[in-house]
Amino acid sequence: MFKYILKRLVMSVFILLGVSMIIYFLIRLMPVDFIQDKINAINQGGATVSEETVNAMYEMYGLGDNSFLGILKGYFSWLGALATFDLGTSFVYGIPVADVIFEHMGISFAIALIATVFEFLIAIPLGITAATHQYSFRDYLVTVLVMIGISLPSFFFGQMLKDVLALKLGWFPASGLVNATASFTGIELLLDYVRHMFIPILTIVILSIGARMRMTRTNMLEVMNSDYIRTARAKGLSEKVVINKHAFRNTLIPLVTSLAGLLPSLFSGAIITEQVFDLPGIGNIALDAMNRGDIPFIMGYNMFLALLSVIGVLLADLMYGIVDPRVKLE
Amino acid sequence: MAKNKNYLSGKEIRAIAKENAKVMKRLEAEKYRKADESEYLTEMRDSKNILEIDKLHTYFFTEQGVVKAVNGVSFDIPKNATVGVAGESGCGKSVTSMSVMRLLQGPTGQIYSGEIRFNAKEKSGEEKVYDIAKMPIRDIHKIRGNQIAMIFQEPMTSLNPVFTIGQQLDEVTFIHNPDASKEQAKEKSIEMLNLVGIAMPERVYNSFPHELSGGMRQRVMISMALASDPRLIIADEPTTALDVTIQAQILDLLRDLKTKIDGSIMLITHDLGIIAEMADYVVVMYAGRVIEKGTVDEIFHNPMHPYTIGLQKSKPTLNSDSDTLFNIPGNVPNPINMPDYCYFKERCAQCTKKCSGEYPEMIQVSPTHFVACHLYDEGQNDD
Repeated sequence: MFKYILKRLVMSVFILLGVSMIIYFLIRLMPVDFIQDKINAINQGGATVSEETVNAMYEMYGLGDNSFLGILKGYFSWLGALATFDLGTSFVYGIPVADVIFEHMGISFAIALIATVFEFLIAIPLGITAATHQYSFRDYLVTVLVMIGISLPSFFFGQMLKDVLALKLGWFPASGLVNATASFTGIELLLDYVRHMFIPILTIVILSIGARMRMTRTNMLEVMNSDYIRTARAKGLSEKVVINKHAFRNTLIPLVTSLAGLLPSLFSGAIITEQVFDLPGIGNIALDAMNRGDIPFIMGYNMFLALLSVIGVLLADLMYGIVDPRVKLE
Repeated sequence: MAKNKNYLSGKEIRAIAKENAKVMKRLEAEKYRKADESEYLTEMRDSKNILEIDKLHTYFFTEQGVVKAVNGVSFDIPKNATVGVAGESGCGKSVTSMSVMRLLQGPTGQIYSGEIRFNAKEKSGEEKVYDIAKMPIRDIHKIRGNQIAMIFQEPMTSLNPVFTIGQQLDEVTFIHNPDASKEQAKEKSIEMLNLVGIAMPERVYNSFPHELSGGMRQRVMISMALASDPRLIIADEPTTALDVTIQAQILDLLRDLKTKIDGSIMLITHDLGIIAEMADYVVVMYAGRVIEKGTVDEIFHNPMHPYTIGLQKSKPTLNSDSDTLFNIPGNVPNPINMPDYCYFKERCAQCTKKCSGEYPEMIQVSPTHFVACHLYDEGQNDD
């Protein structure tokens, strides 16, 4: 087991190297130029920047040479810094990338975690009822409702919820994370957070239930039609025990492993939802960085997600070994 | 099933769906109703029997139409006897056994009509006769796994892969004796594993199903069936998935057990050799109906229905001169919209004019031997 994990971790290093290479080259090929944008802004202010200064700025940011060798050099200098656990300094914010990530990750993580918990709590029972009452009115009703959820785009549905719940009914604040006009502390501050995060979380939960519910339903149906469920019934077990013990324990295998695969999405932030509700989450920041060509931040953010993905896949495999006795990890 | 021959128009499909929905709704409501015990208590026709199946009709309501998988099957299982049910694939053998266990997949599979009378023995020793076909599903635990146990065809997939053998065996003890302690349940499970001839029962007790071979798993299935001291064991092709040497062991085991538990066995198989060896009585089924039934001697030494004769001819023997195996020409008719004449007519070499007439009645040839064939009508009249 220990050997298996070690082997996987060593492999992960190579995977991450490959990922970093691809991301870095792609970013350098992107048609955004942080320096040019900055100079344009200065020019608009009326001042002029000399050619020399511009070139010096390109050199300073390490973007001077756009040939293949130049990009390669840039990549290795980034990699060299990474070896000393330095993700570099964000162009836009002027502070270390790691600080930017950790500053904005909390809010995204809180939203994603709460949304995921509710997603599982709602989708799994729905999927099980739909499967155990296949082709009944209940099954069709649940399926149609979650299908509507899957089909709605988040920018539209989020906007709609905001319009109804916040603007028309006024039950919740429309955007932002805290009430700027009041200065709450302690429990009041927490309640204020909850009020602000309610609609974004509701949006994410409704949109994501569908896939999880369909997955549970399909798995459950497959399990319910299997021979060992017939055996369990033939033994004289009550339908409740058959479903909740024998069938659910088997449905749990893909569900638990998919949970581990969710790890990166907990930290990546919901870009569109954060935009709609103007939340200072990591998704919002990442989109902004992308538009402005903040290379160190994009690299840092994506490598962070890549690392989480690799760990998530490893965790999923380890989970298999725990929940499915047929799987032996060697 | 007859995809190319019988195209259905949209109108017909809708008409079928509407009709099916109506019947299924009624039958499902009946299945899930709450009922007083008196509603399904009945009397045995013959107190020597443990199970009497009487004009059982089990239908599947499919999109193409109603499949009459079991279409008026009647036979008895006497106490302490082994009854073999023979027939080719799709003749309704397994559906009959599923009907007895009430394990049909709803809402499509339903017992449409008929009676399944079962002589149950309560813990108090009192005997009660239940009509299983009329029992609501919530009361089925009175007999399922308790009075009647079942052994399935596929030992490889019939055990839950995520629980150990011990967990799955103990469960049976707990169902029937909820007050049992963990140690008592384990003791009983190990005893059952010993009974079915498993070496190292302690080790098997802690194993997962995937760690055992097919033969071992089938033994575990049998021990599971035995753990509840059933009065009737239904073995649905218990040896089909096993290789021949293991087959013989499993059959020996079943025969031994019958004497040990003092119960009856309903043995479903398409292997006439197994029936000849194991059974006291034989029921031959064809396309959802019983076409001949009698004692093992009668069926093997004096088969009367052309289908039974054909079946026996198609059995491979070592000392025959012929290189090719006899086979009955043709196929089983489409189970949707069965004709109202003998279902075997198209494949029968001994057809007479009468065979185009309505489906033949069961004719009694001896006190125990019955056959459903027009060939024997006249003999009946002459006597």
